Amino acid sequence: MPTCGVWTVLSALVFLVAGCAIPAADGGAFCGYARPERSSASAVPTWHQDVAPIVNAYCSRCHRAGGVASFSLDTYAQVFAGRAAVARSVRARTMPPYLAVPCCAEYQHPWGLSDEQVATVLDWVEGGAPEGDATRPGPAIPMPTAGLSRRDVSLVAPAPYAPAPAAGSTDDTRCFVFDWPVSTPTFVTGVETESSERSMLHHVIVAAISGADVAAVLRKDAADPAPGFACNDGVGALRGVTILGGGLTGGDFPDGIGTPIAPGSKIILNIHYSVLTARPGAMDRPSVHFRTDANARPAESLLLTNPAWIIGDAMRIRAGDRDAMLYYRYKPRLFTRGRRMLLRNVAPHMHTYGTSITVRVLRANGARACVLEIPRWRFGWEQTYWLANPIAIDPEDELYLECHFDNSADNQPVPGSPPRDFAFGGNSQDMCAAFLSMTEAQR
Amino acid sequence: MIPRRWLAALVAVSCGGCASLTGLGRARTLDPGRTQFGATVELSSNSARLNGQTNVPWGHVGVAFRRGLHERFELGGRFSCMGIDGADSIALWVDPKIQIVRSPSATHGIDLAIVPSVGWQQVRLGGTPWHLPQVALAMLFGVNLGPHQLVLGARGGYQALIGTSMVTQHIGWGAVSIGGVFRAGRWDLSPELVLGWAPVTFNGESTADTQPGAGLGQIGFSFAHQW
Repeated sequence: MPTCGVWTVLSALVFLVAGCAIPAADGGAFCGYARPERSSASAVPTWHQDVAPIVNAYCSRCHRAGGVASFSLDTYAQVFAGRAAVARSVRARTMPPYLAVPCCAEYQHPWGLSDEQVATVLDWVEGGAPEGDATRPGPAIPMPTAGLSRRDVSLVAPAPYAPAPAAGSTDDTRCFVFDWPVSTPTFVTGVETESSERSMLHHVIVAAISGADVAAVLRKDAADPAPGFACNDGVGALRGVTILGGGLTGGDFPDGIGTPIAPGSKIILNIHYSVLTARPGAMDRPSVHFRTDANARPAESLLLTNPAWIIGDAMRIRAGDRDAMLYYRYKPRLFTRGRRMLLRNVAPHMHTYGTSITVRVLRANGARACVLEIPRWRFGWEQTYWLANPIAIDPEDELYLECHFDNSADNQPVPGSPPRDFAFGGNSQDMCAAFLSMTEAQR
Repeated sequence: MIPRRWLAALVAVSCGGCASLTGLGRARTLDPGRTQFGATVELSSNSARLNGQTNVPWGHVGVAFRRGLHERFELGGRFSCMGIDGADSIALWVDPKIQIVRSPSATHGIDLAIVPSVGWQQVRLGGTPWHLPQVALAMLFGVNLGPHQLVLGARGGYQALIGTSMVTQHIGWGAVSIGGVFRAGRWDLSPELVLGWAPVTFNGESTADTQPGAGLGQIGFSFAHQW
């Protein structure tokens, strides 16, 4: 019997002797994607009537002249020329890179395509991609308004930065430091980050530093000649850290939610660059923008992950395993302290081996509420999902996190490299976590 | 980036198995037929250097039972627990004490005993529990000072960290201790300090600021009634 078998048996015995039910993985299945039949029985869709409104609303934000994407999709000719790639990306749901599926929960400002929109684009490509009548354009679709309604404070890095991973690594996590310019106590009620070089970003975290740690941050910044300082160890060691936002998109916090920030604070923009996906010679000059208000409803943040996974190789995924699954059930009574909370947003976190992730609420009565489901995880498109309808967390409810990983030869961070065991760690390894933000339910 | 609160939970887990290191009593087995029953209060500080120094306070209260079965053999057991809403821990130990060197007199000379213990601990910081079956070997060196005894100890142990949806971790640890056992009538009062270290590794995000290992400082105060 292999060693792991012995420990599996021992684990089971320990649980049985302890009189505990083994906390099992939740049996709920991923709802996944569908490609429904088109609702209208009309002929093949055309560019001007059907497809252009979709492309303009969901693609041109990045795929435009001067946009962060490497090619434009502004005109019929451009989209026609790239129609095969467009169909491929839309069918695989890799574009637009909005990863959450709508069958799980409804989110604010979703910028993914609906099943019907996917079907429209695919029918158009498969039908020969006709241009249609330019004099009769289809109705415009409002652009998803994920963005700040006001930019009260804008902070821009003083100079471009070229990521410089350590030897043998493809990762460089950098902390850029800014002065918080507001001289009175205020609430941050919205955050948005921008990058001049999107191709190498994995995640962005915006944090405020206050108190004695300001001096520590300034020392680190002064000691590093390049913009910002290396912070592969994050800013978590500092005591006065408040997470203000994260992800690669941003916007207003809903329902009057805000995070207090004190005068004299420093803002840290923690950016994880991965040169795996970078263009040659790429440099980034990041910026962060805030909406502020004098009053707001404070939100509380929780990191959902199994703390034991960070010890040794507790999160080990075997080389060659095409679908390794990890899960964690957590009753957050330390966090809720018996209060009824409202779950407001979720930001999942995995790296390159991750393939899918889900977050659920498991009710004490056996019911479950789907918070987030990403059936096709894509490294580099980490973002925060604000729930359109907050999900109540009662004191006896559990939070459930499930991650799947592919460590086969077909899914290596460096294509062609042989699979090897990995565990919790940086880009050469992986993680399974989700940041949750909650407010206390009104009594 | 790892929030500090998470680190605290992590260190609590990695060091949670260092429960109830105090409370082994004298380096001298009870006389055959003698029985002790007592209680222990322990306060711990677990620490690790991972993204900076992190210290986590931890505590246990416990009860202990010992009975002398032979001049050189005593059987004991301990139960300790800690619990607040959302985080709790319980531990059970069986502590046979074997006399290696026994002073002819209980009031002077030196005693040397070993305690090969077997234990189990459960730690919960939320829904999913972690289980830590463990073994430990303590060597207690006692200097008899009248009815009292100065006790110096060296201990080592092994624990497995077992949980669902994770690979079992095997963790060794070592510790030294100094304590005293003060006799007051039928009561033994025992303050004790234990300093330990476990070569736990943290696989993730290792940096120049991250050092392997987790430290433990534990202060225990026990009192036991003998009859």
